[in-house]
Amino acid sequence: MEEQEFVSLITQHQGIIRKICYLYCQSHNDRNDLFQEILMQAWSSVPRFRREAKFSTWLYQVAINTAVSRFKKWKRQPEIKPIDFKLDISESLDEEEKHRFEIMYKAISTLNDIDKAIVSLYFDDLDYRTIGEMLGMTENNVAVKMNRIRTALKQQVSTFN
Amino acid sequence: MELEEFKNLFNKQSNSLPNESAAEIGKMIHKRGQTAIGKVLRNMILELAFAVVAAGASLVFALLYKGATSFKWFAAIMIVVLVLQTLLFIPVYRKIKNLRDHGSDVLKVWLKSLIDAVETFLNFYKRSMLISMPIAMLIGGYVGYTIADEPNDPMVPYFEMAFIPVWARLALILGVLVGTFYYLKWALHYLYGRYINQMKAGLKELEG
Repeated sequence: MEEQEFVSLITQHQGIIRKICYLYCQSHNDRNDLFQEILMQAWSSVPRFRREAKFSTWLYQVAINTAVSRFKKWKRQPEIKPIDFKLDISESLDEEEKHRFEIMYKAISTLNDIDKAIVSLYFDDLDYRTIGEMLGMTENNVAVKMNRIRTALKQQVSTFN
Repeated sequence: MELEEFKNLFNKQSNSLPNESAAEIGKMIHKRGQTAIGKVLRNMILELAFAVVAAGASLVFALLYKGATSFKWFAAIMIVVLVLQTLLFIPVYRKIKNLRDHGSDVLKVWLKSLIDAVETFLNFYKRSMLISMPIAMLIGGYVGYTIADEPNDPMVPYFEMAFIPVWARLALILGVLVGTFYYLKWALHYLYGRYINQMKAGLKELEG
């Protein structure tokens, strides 16, 4: 694939990368760093892209792989701080919705990287079989994990409330 | 808020985020990244570059001080180390570099390959330390012994160190060797050990 075609496809599908960055990183700078890492990883991996596959699914795979295997900046302080997330929440949400959105976002940020991968693929309406194929898990295992994630999120939300 | 409701808001929210232009994306794909593979590859290139510079510098010294046996020995050692390092380096470097193209593998396969690549690099590093340090000590000792009869050699005063007793010199050399080994071991763990643990934890999650 030529660079021009690749850039054009990425430009069309960059929403996928944004979503992953948003779920994996809490700060604006970290999101931008991850965005760039995913772009570079996608460019390195593109020679192995088979045209019969959907570009969006392929890009999801690259984005998840890069996010899970990113070189984290090890910090002495814990990653989760009290409500200090600067979310670029759309103005169309009312205050109550914004608050509930922030709480759930915070709860999701406490999940481990694999659970975040499952959640992000679930958000894009992928079925459990496809999620399992992308991550290397059985369909049943994904379903079990998804139930655990829901329970964990409920507990976290009630803690934050 | 339930996960379903969040999902709808999140998708709506993601669609409203500002997009990068094609020109900006074109620039970004060629920037220097901070991925683990990128870091390992850069470190390997730096190692080799350092060996090339050290071998080159020692060769210059050997040519400038043609009568100095110590410089000849030093240049010879550095060139042998460079050749050995390059021979060991090429297959490891190629293996890790090829992995960069596999970023779209199934996540579990990708994590396994990454762990394998980083561990291969660490083993390569530790092995070269374990081999090169005792050899350097033995050759250093032999060079010191050889040039003792050559008072014109510019390195003789450094080997003599008459004010330090022999046992203290040996203890110093041994201390530096052991200290360097453990320092490098700690530094490698600090730089890559936690990363491997992070990858292994992810793999365990996928398998559990």
